[in-house]
Order: sequence, then structure tokens, then C-alpha cells
Amino acid sequence: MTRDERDTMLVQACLHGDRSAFDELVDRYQGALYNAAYRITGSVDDAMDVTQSAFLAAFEKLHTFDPSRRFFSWIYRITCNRALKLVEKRRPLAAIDAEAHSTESNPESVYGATESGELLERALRELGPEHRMAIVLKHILGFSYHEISELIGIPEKTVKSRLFTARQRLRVVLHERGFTP
Amino acid sequence: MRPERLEALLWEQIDGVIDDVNCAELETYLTNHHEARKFKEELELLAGRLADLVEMEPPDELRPRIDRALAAVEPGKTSSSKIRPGPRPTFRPPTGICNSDTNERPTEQPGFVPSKGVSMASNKKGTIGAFVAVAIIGVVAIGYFSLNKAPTVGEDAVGAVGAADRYRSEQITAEDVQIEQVELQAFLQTDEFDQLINDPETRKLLASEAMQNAMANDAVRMALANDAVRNAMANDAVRMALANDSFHQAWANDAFQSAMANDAFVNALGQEATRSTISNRAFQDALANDAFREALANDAFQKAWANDAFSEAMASDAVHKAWADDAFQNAMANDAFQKALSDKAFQNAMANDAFVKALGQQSTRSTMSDKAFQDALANDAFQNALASDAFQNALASDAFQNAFSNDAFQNALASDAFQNALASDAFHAAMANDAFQNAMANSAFREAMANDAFRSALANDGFQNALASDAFQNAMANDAFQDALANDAFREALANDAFQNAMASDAFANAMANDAFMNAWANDAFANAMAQSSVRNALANGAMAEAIAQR
Repeated sequence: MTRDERDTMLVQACLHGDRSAFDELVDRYQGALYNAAYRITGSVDDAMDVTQSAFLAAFEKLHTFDPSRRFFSWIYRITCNRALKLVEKRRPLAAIDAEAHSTESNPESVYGATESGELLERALRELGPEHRMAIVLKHILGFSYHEISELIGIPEKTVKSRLFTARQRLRVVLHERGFTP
Repeated sequence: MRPERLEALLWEQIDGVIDDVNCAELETYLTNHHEARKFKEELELLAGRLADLVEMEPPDELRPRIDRALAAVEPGKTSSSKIRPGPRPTFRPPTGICNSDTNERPTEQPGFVPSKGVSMASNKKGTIGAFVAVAIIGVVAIGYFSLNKAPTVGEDAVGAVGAADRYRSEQITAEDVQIEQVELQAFLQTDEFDQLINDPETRKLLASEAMQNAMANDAVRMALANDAVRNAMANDAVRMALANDSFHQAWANDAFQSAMANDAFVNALGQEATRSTISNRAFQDALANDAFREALANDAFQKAWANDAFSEAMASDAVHKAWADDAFQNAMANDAFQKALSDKAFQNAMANDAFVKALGQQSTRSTMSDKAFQDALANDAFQNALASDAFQNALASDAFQNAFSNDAFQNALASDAFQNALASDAFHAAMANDAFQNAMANSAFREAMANDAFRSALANDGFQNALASDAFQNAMANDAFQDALANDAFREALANDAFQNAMASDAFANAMANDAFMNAWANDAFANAMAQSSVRNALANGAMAEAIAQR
């Protein structure tokens, strides 16, 4: 049984009253969804809010899930949409966010990564959320163009051009900071 | 090339989605433009740095929050008491203040009553998780997995230990499980058991859903009972690797489980080189790729692991770089590539320094993902050629690698005549020669290789001997000769027996070393004359060759 088939089976089991089936879906995807939410919002608290509300929304609307599609794509889109909306709502705070980002919520400091990693994280935060998401999906979470296209619901060509622009902007930001990879 | 196009093509190449035509154009451009190569290095480094950014573990409190939110609603029904995030601060406090401990979020939602089902599921999770944990540790430590109450990690154990439990402080203790086996009970009293269950990496591994699902697989349990796996598990680097997220995902995959259950692969885990490989980040990242996991599950590949030289090669930096490359991962998924892996000659080739060095080159990896190369791999002659020192050294040369990414050369590779030529020692010797390798960098020479007449010539003994001669190799380095290769008449002459016989003669070889003679080839009239059968027949005559040599 493939991962997608098992997901669909778990959704059906949950709709038939087995709530624990949804636990497995949470186990499987909370890490990926939290990471996507964190990279889009740039905040641990927001990422937790978004991840929680995405699972809740999926749980409540489980009956609307089309079993011919991938559960992960479905819930991932819910998560990204919610994260993007939140960022849009918080935009006025974005300027101070980049500088005031706490060390505590910075994954690089938590994991003891290098200075260049921190610089990259900061540069990523300076990109628009859509560009940031494109880079995160491609380079950090390792999705293919096709998968990104499915996940965020845009044509592959758009994924390609968005990534191109995102990478260009990232390089500009990094160069402005005197950072060479 | 416009800068935007160069950048777009470079990213396509780094992303592994560039097509053959664009790849060839890009490689040619890179060969001739130092700045473009520097730019490529910059983009590759940036991609590498991005890939190295850490994927974050969700905070411990996330899972309980999700559970509480879900407990208040029914699937498919909107809750009247929908849980919303707590009020947010209007400013961002300094470091460490705005975290979930101080945030004003309700610890329990209004109307939230932990249902019996949820509570039981929770307890069950703990028990099964602990049971599985102890069972695995038991297997790892005492090589015994015939518990009367073997853990049944199937449907009942769905989400047995949630990801959010990974970093909780509760310790798994012997009291959590009831086990009748004397050996296992004895083991539970040992320092080793304490050490294992207190090891964060082991606990992380055991708590992973994928590992628990994998434990439902008989083959995996058998594998875990194997000495080599237990020894491997005793290695810190391996335990850390196995607890890595990529490995977690891989454990859930049929192909990976099958690989882990394979004797050859399991025995290979007993080797330091293999352990070093699986501890490598590039290898772990590659595990996320379907094609790579399928390759791991392939018999031929697993048998190859059993070869010391092969597994050592796999532990080299160059191969690690290759693991991380999409083109190489795709190549591994190819039937011909996998079949080639079962071939001793190919395994030896993979273990060869020059070959491993070549693997460190993007152009070699791109070549490996090329169909012509993969088809060639299925050919015995090509596999034998790969095993020859000369060929491996040639592979490591820049000129040869550039040739590999060229369509004309790839077409040549796919041809029977070329593959037959590859079986010849004379041809190997020629390949090891600098002049030949430099000739490969010449587009006329590569175009000639795509030509049937030239390839037929390559398969000819006389021509191969000529190729191995210093005179011919020097001639190949001659611009006039390379230009002549672009001439149909010359190529036809090359394919002709009489001409080839003539070339095999010392006199002709000496003539070839003569600049005037070589320049004559650039003359159409001369080349056309060579295309005449009477002239060629005359060339086969020793006297004629002598005369030429006297020029």
C-alpha cells in the first residue's frame, strides 16, 4: 500500500468513526506542515497556530476531501493558504519582524548552525511570502516542480518562473549583505 | 548567451530538469566561459547552503494543542466551539519572552472534555510504543526476536507514539511492558539497556511512526535480529543516521524495507564504509528520492554492497556528492544501470579512484542519466571497458567528460561499432592518451564519432592499432587532421580496409607525423582523392606508403 493509499484509507476510517485514524495523519504531516508554516510566517507561534488550524479545518471538512486526490496536497494547500493570509494580515509588522526575530525561535541558533545559515534564514525572510514559499518547497523540503505545482495549485511553468525570480531576489539580498555562498 | 538564459539553464541543470539539447549548449558555453563557470559554482553553493538549512522539529506543545482542538469537534462537522488561537501580543517581546509558555492561550478549550476514546488511545499509544521500543532494543541487543507477545504493529497501533512525544521527558522503563523471556528480562537489567533507552537518537528512532510501521514487516524484524545490523546499531553515527527524518520516511517505504531485509545489504552494514555512507547527509537526502530507494532495493545493487571495494567507494566524498544529484539518482533507477551494478567489472570500476573522481563531476553524473550511456552500460564490452584503468583514467579527464555531455558522442556510445571498439585493448590504450582525450574535446572529432563510417573504422583492428600508435595520436592532436575528420571523403577513407591497413603500417604512421601530409588533408582535392578506391588501394601498397613517408 502506498503512502497516498494509506492516507485515503485513514480518511475513510476517520469518516466512519475511527478518530484515531486522524492521529496517524497528524503524526505523518505535522512536521512538514509546521515547517512550511514556519518558513512562510517566520514565527514559531504563528506556525503552530497555522498548523493547528489547518488540521482542525481538514478534520471538520474531511467529508469534502476528494479521495482521488492526495490528502497531503490538500492539507498542504490549506496550511499554505492560511499561512499566507496570516502574513498578509500581519504585513505592517513584517518590517520589524526581520530584525526582532528572536534567537529562541530561530532554528539555526537552536541547531547550532553556521553564521551563513543564519544569514540565509534572514535573507529568506526578506522575500515575499510566495517567493519564500517557492524556495522553501524546492530547496528545503525538496519537492519537484510538479509536486510544487500540485501543492500550491499553479502551473509548473509558473512554479519555474516564480522560483527563478525568487532565487534572483535571494541572491540580490545576499549580495547586499556581502554574503557569498 | 544572455545572462538570464545562462542563469535559467544553470538552475535547470542544478534542479536536474535540463534537457539534452540545453545541457549540451550550456556545457559548451561553460567550457568556453570562465565567468560562467564561476557563476555556476556560486549557484551550486547557494543551492547547497539552502539544502543544508535545518528542517525544524515542531515544538513539543504543538501535538497536544492539535489533539485538544480535534477533541472538541467531530470529523466532517463544524464545531460550535471552534478553537482559535489565543490573543496575540501587539508587539514582539524580546528574545525568549514570546513563547508558548507565556502566550495567553487556553491550556484547555471551553467545553473540552477528554473523551474516553482519546484517553484510552493515549494510554494505548504509550504502551505499544514502549513495547515496540523495548522489543527493538531487545532485538538489537541480544539478537533475539521470538517474543511470545511479539509486537503487532498494525492497524491497532496506528500512531502508536506520536511525533510530539519524541522529546517528552518520560522514560521507557522495564515496567512499561510485560515480557516473559528470561534473556530479555535479564537484558532489561543491564547498563546497556539503560544506555540505549536514554540515548535520544535511539528514542527518536523508536518513537517514529515509520519505524513502528516498518516493524510490522517480518523481513525488517528478521533484519534487526541480524548480528551485522545490531553491530551497526551500536555505532553512534548509524543510530543518529537511522533517527534522521529522511530515514524515518524511508523506513515506511516498501523498497527500503526490502533493502534492509536483504542479506547482502545487512552484511554490508557490518562494514565501516557502509556505516559511513548511511551516516552521510547526501545519502540520507537521496533516500527521499523514489528512484534511489528502488535502486537500493535492487538485488544487483545490494550484491554490489557486499563488495568491499564498492562499499568503500560509496563512502567517498565524490560519491556522496553524486548521491545528492538528481541526475545520478535518476540514473540509478534505470534498469540498465541496475543491471550493470551486478557486473563485477562495473563494481570494480565504481571502486576505482579515477571513476569515483569522475563521479564528482556534474558532467559525468549528467552523462550517467543519459539514455545512450545507460544503454551502453547494458553492453558487456562497455562494462569491461569501464573496468579498464585506461578508460577510468580517461573518464576522469575534463576533455572526456565534456565529450560525454555531447550528443554526437552519446550517439557514438550507443552504437555497436563503438561498443565493439571499446572492447579492444588498443582502443583503451588510445583513450588513455592525452592526444586522444584532447581530440575528444574537439567538436569535429566528436562529430566524426557520430558518423557510421568513422565508427566502423573504430571497430577495425587496423584502425585501433593505428589509434594506439604515437604517430596517429599526435596526428589526432593536429588541427588539420581534426578538420579533415569533418570531411566525408576522409571519413569514408578511414572506414576502408585498404586505408586502415595502410594506417597500420609504420611508414604511413610516419607520414601522419608529417605536418605537410596532415595539412594536405585539409585540402578538398586531396581528401577527395583519398576517397577514390584506386588511391586507397595504392595506399595499401607498402611502396606508396613509403613514398608518402618520404615526403
